[in-house]
Amino acid sequence: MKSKVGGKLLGVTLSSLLVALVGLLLVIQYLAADQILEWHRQRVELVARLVLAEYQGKIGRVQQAASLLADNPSYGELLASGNVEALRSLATPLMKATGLHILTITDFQGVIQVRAHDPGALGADISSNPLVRAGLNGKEASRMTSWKDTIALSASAPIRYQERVVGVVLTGLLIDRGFVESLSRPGAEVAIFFGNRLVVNSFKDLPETALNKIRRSKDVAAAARNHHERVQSLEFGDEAYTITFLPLEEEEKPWENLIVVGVNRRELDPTLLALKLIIFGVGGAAALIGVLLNFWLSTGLRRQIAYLAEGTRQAATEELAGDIPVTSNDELGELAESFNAMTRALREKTRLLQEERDRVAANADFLSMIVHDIKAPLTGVRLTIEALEDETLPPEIHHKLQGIIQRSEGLLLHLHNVLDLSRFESGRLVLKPEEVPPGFIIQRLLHHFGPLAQHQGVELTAQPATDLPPIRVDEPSLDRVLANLLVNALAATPRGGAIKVQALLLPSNHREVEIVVSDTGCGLSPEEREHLFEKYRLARHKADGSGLGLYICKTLVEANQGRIWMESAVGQGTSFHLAFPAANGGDAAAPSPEGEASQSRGRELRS
Amino acid sequence: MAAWPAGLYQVWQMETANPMSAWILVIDDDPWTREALVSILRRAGYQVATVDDFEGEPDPGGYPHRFQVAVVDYHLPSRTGLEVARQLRELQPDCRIVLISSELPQLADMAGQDPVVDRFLAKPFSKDAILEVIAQLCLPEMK
Repeated sequence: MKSKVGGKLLGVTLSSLLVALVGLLLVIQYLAADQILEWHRQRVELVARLVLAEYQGKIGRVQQAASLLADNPSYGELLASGNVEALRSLATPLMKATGLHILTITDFQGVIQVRAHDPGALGADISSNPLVRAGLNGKEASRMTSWKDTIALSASAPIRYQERVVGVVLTGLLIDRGFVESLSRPGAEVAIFFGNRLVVNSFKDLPETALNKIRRSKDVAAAARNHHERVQSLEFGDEAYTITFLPLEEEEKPWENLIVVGVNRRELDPTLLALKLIIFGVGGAAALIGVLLNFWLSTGLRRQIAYLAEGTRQAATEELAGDIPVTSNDELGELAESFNAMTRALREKTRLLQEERDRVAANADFLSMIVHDIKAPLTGVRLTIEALEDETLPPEIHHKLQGIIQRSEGLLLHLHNVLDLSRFESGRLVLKPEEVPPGFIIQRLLHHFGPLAQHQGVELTAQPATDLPPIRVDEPSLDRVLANLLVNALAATPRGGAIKVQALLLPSNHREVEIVVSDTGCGLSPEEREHLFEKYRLARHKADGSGLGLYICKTLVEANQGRIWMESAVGQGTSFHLAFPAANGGDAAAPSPEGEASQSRGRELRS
Repeated sequence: MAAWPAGLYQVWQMETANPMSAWILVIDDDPWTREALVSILRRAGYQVATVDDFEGEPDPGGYPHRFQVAVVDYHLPSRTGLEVARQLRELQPDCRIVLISSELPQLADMAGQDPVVDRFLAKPFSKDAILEVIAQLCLPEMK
């Protein structure tokens, strides 16, 4: 069972399934990847916030350290009394205890009295330092400041003694690699810009080009309007980072000091890969299940289609075989049932048709049997009459006996008409075309009908042209046609009239031999002519009571590839014309001048 | 005559019997045809024997005459004229056969191809037709 439609159907379903699935998977993958990136972004922001909190914690610590030191009452007292040595010995151990990198104490003029982290520069006036200035003004302050080569996170606090600012404590943490590493978290790196300059970072082996990239992306982020756009992807060599920017302090110049937080995207790749694997794995499994389901579902369809195709093919090319199996209970199944109903109806019709044909054939057989049954005794009757004629009989008896014989001839002709018609209509009329010389046929006709014409007082003559080519016809058919025409002519022609049978070559492109039977009878009116060759036309001639004669003539002539037509004038007679193709296309019988001459002379046969 | 197991075997001899004239056998089950043929053939100077059927196996020695021509009807009650003609030919190889029939036209072709049948005449035929055929078949014999 091969079904091309089934295969196509399967292909269409499978490919549409596949396309839909792939589309769905792509959408899911896109959405999921988007979601994961969003999560990543959120994580980056969270990390950034943590980093910021850590940074602010460090500021707080520095600030707190400054405050604590400044609040120590002995500091103010010692500073006021100018006991710098005691102050230094007091302050120096504190630096280590607080983990500060920077610890400087100035007097109320901003002159350095103690430098716990570095013994140098004592006595220098640093009152211009903004932090020191704030301290001298009795305020606490903290900020990122440049410190020698690097930068530091510094804070200041005023030292009071008896409600008077007697000095300033300046504390600080160096912002070095250690600092940024303490800010960074696993998988996240930190870099710090100060005064628009990338000062320090915890990125590993960051090349110069990467630094440039960071600077450029910082500018992009600075120009960004919303917070979201500050998160960017950057690739440094093998590593890819998602970075965000945390501007610090200075509200008028927010993008000069800032922290850069970069989260390594490496952690993202396995997640995305896992996502893809899961999505496409699940999708593939779904597709496989879909394909299997489709196969399972379409097998029934394909089988039904194959049965239908096979059934239709058989019905078209072979015969209306039995029903095809109905294997599905859907529209296809209904189609198959309709097909079965159709073939059943067709089988029934075919059977009826065959029965009808058989009936017609049986009728023909029956008829031919009847004709046979009539002919056998008719032979006896005829021969008996003819035997009687040999006796010496009075002329009027002889005349009547002749009449009986002729009537029986007419009777036979009718029987043969009916028989031929029934054979023709049942498709059993066997024609055996042979080459027949028309002159011979006409002579035989005259020989047969001569006595009848003589008996009726009608002159029967024949004028077959010489050198006529033979015609290709079934001889019994031609005999029957001519007999019918002659019987009709004899019936239409009154005593003393004449009947002429001619044969001549038609001067047409296709060589045809024309046979004309003309009488000097009463002729036919146009109305009578109209339906002349139709079956069961109203009979005008008694001899053709059933009206079958001319219909049979037309049927037989046309069955022999001939033509029949008639010409008539009321009161002047009727002529029937037959035309049959000459055998061999008439090549051998092209009329020579002699032929024409002999044709015009004619050969007169007188009965 | 006892050799003809079934059917009627009748012999007509002319009153002025010419022992040299040919013998004709007519086999037909229609009595009118038989009698008319006898009448016609006798008048034409032949000696005639008739049988209405040809059943069973006749004794070869039982034939009363040597026939020049047999006129055999195709449609006989017990068998076909062709079978009868074959049997006749075996017994009297010189006998010419004229098959007469009112059967379908195909029979004429069938009989025409059968070497047993010398002539075929379609029923109903005229007196002239049968006399002409018989005369033609007797002619070589006469000569």
